[in-house]
Amino acid sequence: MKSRFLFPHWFRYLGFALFLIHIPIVMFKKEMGFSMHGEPVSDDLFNSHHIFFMTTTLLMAIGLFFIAFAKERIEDEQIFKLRLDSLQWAIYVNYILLVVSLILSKDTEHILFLNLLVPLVFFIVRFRWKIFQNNRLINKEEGQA
Amino acid sequence: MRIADNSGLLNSEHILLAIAFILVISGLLFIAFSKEKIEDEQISQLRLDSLQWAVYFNYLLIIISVAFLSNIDFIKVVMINIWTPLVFFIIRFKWVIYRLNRSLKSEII
Repeated sequence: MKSRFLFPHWFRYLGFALFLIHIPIVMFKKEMGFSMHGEPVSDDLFNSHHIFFMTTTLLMAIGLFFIAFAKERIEDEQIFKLRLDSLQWAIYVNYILLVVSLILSKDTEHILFLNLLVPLVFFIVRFRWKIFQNNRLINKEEGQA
Repeated sequence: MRIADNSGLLNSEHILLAIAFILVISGLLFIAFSKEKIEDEQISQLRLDSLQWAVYFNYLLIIISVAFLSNIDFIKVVMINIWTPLVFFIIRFKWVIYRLNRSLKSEII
């Protein structure tokens, strides 16, 4: 068994860079002249609200995507197993959240946004956490031996 | 179908939508993540590959639809987005298993 279809290891840093770029852009939205809340949004694709939404969402999604699917330094069976487990959990959690939010609200723009964010963030956090636990266990065993 | 006229959550249209979502999602989840008759390493390799492809495909679709649609169509994007990853996963997983079985049979003969 081995993991396939992954990006090279350095994509992880590229992903972090993209994700970090998107944070100040969203934070300083008003200062940069993109504050459009309350104004009627026109339907055409090239109004500034849509372009802003599009660029920040793309930066964030692609960044998270690269972080999640970059290769580890060492790819072995255990990493493979952790990756499969985490991916399954991420999909389960995403669907549970999706169902709950669809039942309890009608705010589809935010549901879509949540749906974009949750699986990747959950996957990254759980995968990293499991690898950390694993490493700690191995260190402990080596200490005892 | 647009839900704009009634603001409360307990109108019949929203309840229908919610029940439909629950049925579709739980059905697809059960199909996608039930065990195979024989679970071996190859099956779990295929499962991870298919799951990764499904996530890739889903993000590609979301990104394209976010880029080219304006706010009004978001409910449609969410609707599509609900079943694409699972359906893509099921089809690819079953297809790869079918191909594997065929190649095993032809090797035996």
